[in-house]
Amino acid sequence: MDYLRRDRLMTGTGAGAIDFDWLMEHVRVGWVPIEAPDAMDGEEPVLTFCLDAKALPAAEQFLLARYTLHQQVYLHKTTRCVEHMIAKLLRAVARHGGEPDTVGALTGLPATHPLITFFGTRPDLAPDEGRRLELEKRALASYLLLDDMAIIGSLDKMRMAGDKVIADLAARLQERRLYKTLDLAHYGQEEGVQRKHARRIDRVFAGKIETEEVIKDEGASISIYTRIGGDDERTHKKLHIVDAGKPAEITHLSPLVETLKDKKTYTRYYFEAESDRDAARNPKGKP
Amino acid sequence: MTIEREDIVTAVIAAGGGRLTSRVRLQKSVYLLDQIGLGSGFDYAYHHYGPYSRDLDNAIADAKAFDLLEEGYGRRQSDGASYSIFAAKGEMKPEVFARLSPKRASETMRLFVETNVTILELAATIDWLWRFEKRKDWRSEVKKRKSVKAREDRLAKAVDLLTGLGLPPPSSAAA
Repeated sequence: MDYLRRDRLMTGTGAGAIDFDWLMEHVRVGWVPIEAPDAMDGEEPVLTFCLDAKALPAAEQFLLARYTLHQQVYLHKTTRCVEHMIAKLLRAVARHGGEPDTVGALTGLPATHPLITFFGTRPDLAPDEGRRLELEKRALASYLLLDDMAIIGSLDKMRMAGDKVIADLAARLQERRLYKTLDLAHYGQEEGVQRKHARRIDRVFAGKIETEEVIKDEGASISIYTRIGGDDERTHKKLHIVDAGKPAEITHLSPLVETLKDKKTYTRYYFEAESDRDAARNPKGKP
Repeated sequence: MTIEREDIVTAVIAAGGGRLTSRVRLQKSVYLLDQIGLGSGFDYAYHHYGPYSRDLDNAIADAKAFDLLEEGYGRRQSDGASYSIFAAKGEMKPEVFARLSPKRASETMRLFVETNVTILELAATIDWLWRFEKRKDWRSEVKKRKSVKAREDRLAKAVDLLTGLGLPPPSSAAA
């Protein structure tokens, strides 16, 4: 819940308010099954958090707030585009991580930079278990140094990289010259129509998708309540409301949540060249 | 004929009799089919219930959008938790099982449809832990991740299932 409040404040969005105090006041502990819901040989419940029935409206509001923030902030097309550009940049740096003689010239980064020490450390190639653990610790130490500032602060250096992909992406991110986005919602909300257009774009731009000049993003999907569950450490992410003395999953009690539970997927393409985006969007030259 | 990802998910469900309950079962079934040679081309990562493929999730969405698959919902009696019920509407393309053979695919999927989903989840997780995470102590690791779900009798059934598929796990270092 805390991140919703912080992100709402920091992004300045008016959406996503939650009744934090009321929710906290009505937190209870109850036994909740952790099996997949269609398990057939009995259930293994665990003790976890749930909410008192009085908090049902606040719980609905919380889920709706999370849904809205995902729609408007986390899965916004510009947010996702920048994330994919950074991911492409990091993949390019990673490709040189294991080449100590050339990594500096190709990435523009010093050998001691945590990106280089992280990508250059390969526990998976360790000859034995002891060495693997040692390398895992080293990789973890580097990883923990990789916060937003470490990446943003190294863009200056990466602009000087010998690898043209790294240099170009670093410059684009610094100057906010983002890849051009085509959201399949451009063709309407009918999923079948969107997916037919996706097939066309996949076919026409297959080569450029392979080289990442065009990036396909079909990983952004939301539902108001994804039944996460499963492993023990995730049990707290289920949302159960105490009903007639025992916890019931919120989808069972809330018509609002039930209505919005179907997953919605956003499929987008990010184009390095604006002309490619325009050609993909209007295959017959129509405006 | 081109095999699209929605053809794979539709064929897998059709091979099991045309109806399959829960996304967890579908995910674990396709993962295990891949280990015995389906060759779906889907990528997997460890997720909440074990190996999970976003590619497969997208294939389900495609199959629904192209009207090859229908998704309904059922509910668990104890707490009302809902789960998906898939029904294949499209025809099974035998080419999907060119590597595995349609007969073996059908026998295996019918077995998966009848297997307790927790056993299926444990079997896929055990296979993932030793095969991809290189966990020599997969038994203690699966107990750590699955806690009360990983009862000894269930682990034994999961190992039996894997052995029957020709995917026996190596002896666990902690066993």
